[in-house]
Amino acid sequence: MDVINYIIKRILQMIPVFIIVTIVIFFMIRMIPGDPAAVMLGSKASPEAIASMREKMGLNQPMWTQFLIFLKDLFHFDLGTSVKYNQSVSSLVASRFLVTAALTAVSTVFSVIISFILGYVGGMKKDKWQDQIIRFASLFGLSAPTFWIGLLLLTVFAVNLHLFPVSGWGDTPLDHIRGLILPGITQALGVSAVMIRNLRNNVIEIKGSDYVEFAKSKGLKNSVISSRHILRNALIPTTTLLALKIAYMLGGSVVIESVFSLPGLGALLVNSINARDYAVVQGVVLTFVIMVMVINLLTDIIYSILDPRVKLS
Amino acid sequence: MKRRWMAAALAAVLSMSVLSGCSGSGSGTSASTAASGETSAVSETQKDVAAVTAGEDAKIADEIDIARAGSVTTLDPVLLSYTPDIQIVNMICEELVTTNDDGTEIVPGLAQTWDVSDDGLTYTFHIIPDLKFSDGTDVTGDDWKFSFERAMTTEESPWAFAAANIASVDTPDDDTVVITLKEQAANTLSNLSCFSVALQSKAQYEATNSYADAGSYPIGTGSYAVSEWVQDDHITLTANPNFHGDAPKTATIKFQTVTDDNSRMMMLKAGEVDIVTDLPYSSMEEINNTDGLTAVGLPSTSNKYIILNETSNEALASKEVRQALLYATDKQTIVDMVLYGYGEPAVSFMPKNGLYWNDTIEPVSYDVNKAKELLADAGYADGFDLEVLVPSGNETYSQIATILKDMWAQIGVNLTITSMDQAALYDDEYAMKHEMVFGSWSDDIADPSQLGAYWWDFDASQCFFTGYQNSDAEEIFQKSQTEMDDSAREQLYDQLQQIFYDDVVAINMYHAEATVAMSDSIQGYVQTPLYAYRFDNMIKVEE
Amino acid sequence: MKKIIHFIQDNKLFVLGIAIVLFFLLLAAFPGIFTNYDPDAINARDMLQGPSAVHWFGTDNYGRDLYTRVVYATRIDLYIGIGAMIIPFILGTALGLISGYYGGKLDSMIMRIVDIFMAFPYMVLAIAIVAITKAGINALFISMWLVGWKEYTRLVRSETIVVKQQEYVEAAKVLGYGDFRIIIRNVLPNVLSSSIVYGASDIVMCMLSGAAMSYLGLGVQAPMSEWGAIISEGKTYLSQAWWITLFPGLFLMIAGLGFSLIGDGLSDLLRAKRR
Repeated sequence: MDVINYIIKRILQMIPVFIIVTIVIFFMIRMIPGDPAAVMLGSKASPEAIASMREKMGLNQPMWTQFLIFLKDLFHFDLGTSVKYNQSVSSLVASRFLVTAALTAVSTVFSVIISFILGYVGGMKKDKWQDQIIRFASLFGLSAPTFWIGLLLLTVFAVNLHLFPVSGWGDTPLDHIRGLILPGITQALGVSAVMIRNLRNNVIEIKGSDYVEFAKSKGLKNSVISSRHILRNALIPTTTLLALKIAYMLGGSVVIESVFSLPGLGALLVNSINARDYAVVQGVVLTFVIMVMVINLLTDIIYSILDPRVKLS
Repeated sequence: MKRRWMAAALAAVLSMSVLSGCSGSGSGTSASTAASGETSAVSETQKDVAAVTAGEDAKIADEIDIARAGSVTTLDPVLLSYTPDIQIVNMICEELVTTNDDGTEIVPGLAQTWDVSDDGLTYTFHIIPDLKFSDGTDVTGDDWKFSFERAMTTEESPWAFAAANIASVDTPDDDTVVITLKEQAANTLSNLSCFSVALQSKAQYEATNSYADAGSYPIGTGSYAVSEWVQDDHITLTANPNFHGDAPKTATIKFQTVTDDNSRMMMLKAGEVDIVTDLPYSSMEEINNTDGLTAVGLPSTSNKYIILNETSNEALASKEVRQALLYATDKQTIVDMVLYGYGEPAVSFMPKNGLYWNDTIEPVSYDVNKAKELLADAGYADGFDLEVLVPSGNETYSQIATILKDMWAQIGVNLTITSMDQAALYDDEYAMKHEMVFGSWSDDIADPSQLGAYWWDFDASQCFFTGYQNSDAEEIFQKSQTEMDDSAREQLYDQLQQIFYDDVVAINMYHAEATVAMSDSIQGYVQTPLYAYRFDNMIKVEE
Repeated sequence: MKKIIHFIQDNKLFVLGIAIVLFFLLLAAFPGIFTNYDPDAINARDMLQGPSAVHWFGTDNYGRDLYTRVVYATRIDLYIGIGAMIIPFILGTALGLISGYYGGKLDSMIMRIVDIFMAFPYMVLAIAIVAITKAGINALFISMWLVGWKEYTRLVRSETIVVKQQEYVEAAKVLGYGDFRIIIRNVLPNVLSSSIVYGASDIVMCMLSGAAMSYLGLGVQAPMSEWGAIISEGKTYLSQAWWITLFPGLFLMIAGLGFSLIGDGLSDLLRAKRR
């Protein structure tokens, strides 16, 4: 019951944020210099042709009028039409959403597996050889540029070993998954490095803390202490970090989608900003906003489940 | 303790050896074509990819896959603007007349023969009889009328020039098209070969809500037709079963969009695609050194200009200063470093080997001292500051700017490079706020009038954004538009080219070749200098 | 003197980190000591040559000596890394403390602001800022500051919430100590280590973000040398001239290693002190 109330409360809190973001994006993108008509027609178009196109696109109306039209459409769940692709923004975003969401999901899974295991082991075996290797490996993973790792993995696993497709999304669900493995690992490596260190840090702190000593002195077996006390408590800040990292990966999808030629939201965003395709930019940003908000909400709920001391307020 | 260091050292050594192994054949060979002074001898010794040597009974593949950097955004012949779009439209639609594979002459297209009235204002075209669209419907006079009218009345079209001179279009019967012009013009047939006036099915236009529906495309009479189009991913063309000529040899051609240069190359190497276009010049040698792959440079109409805005920077308003910059620009080095030999320094503003291209104009030599002299004469002995705007993400322009910065520093010109996003740059360019930008051009018709208008009709682009005004030159150009005598017209264009060079209206750096890489199993790859694909004879030979 | 030796022995990695960072600071301050070449000198004859005795790291596609460019790039990268991180670190930590400690409406408000900022994908903000201000280092800093502070706030807030409910904080409150004192003396030291460790990695992340921005053409502009930009330039030549991509990447990693070791060492020290 509490949880449901909390969810409703958070959704209500999210609405004003959503509105503010919408307004900011709407006006911000239009204030950036650059004319969508000129971009669309290219440099060979005459000034008259461009002026004509602007008129046709409704760009000469005052901004407030354009905003009101946008709001009106929004109430009908119409996000507008892309001038570049000649498609409704909602269908455009929907088709790309799947790709980016899948990529982020795969990256998250890889990150969780890699970092939770290695972070815990590193913390428990502090200063032993396992810890040393994990620390050094994560230090390197931390410092290597993602697109560089991506290119390396591509060269070795796709071009030379032919294990994975060089690029693209493919046509069948199986193709999709195969196509996401290398990009997923690439994103996960960079993110894992940070989380391993955070988790390891937390594990060490908690392991040496008073209540663990206390539990040991009471005769609880090590394995019991590990799972119930140490892991649960250590995971709390790490989970918060994970949420941050998922949002970060969403934003970083642009670079990965470029290297691996995945038709996702990140690529769509960059292309539509460059083309000044206002409606699409708005649509994509709003989608990102919702995705991030949902992730944050889920994180806070999981956080409260993990740590009974913290009450959902 | 010790183990840790050994582990780290081992890891470092391992990673280095893996990486050097990765570089394959490329690691030892450096760009050996870099010796200054050599012009490109590359095109003479490369493989002729247009040749078909396979016998009649050779086993050929049903599908050929091509990876391109850009994706198709719209296929509306009147409103499209980017090359990837134009290339597809050229394959699915045809015009009254077209160019030959060399891009040097006009040859019959859908019109087999034509008559011109004595006053040069009326052209009567005799169309191939019983023509059908790719969807099986008959071509009628209405379709012709509609196609032309659309090109004539769409104000927003960048290709308005192609139909600007048409007064009216009549179709006395389904096999005859009569075009009446407003005034005589030498470029009439060239304009009629432009894709914006290609024949399209009117029914299709209406069925797709005037091409406004998402993913809509024209239906034409070309040898191929669109069968599937997934935005930003791929577009697939299949052979037109109702084609009026010989069926194309390959049933399906799939064009994939792969924006990342490295990925495109890797796909070719891994055998995932058969052909790759827009190959970076620096990769040409590597591909040619790879077994089973070939990379070639093909003739193109491309030009690359250094655009100097006379109106925004005092120094640039002086002809001597611009000449000094010309003397201080070592074009051959730029060709070596940017094109790796796949191109040559340019003098004329017109495309290499295009109609009326004048290669007899004496170019000045690269002479830093002469440049300094000129600067001093103009009153800029200490040099001056100059800012160039470069669209972010454009590596070629960025490279050229970096090289120029170094070259011009030697005469005291301090070039700062400012990167902007493309749309914002257009804004500044149209408002003439820039001091220097780069300009690029490739022809869409086989006649210099399209480029000529852009340069010499001041309202079109303020002389390609240089702000250079010369009423004599503008008059010469206007005359060339109505001059019907070939050699007289040629002389007019000679004059324009001379003026361009003498006054240093802008600096044309080079004529670049178009690059394409493909598997050795591909034969019959033909591309015109106007970048149009002629794939009817292209095949992929299977072992 | 003995104390110093003992310190070094007990904290070998920390000292190694400091040594590495000092070395890079030296490189940044006095590149001329380490190389004689001019990082911007173009040389058409020497394009894309592999590592050799004359060019230790080989040359790039303009014929420039790569080793020299990598050395000169140190200055810019350190500048970006530290400059982009320090403001968010200070601001974000402060906000996180306030938010976590006081809770209630203040916390809600701060978290809503975090949500708003969090909602903007990093790249949108970055591209928009670059489009408005023209690409370059300033645009890079502004966008990284706007984006970087919230991570510290959330991290510190979540740790503060946990610490706040610890007995010693409750005890201090009961004893009548003021909020400010409790925050600075009891809460801050316990959450600072996480913040610092994150901060050390943030320096590296900022350097990498700079590289990513350059990859998309939005960051440091030619011909300035910056490790990420050099790697970006090298990606076109990945299979022919792997050295252009490898060496700046190595420097980036080692610099990152240095900062991370410092972060780790500091957090170990702080933890030990708290006991």
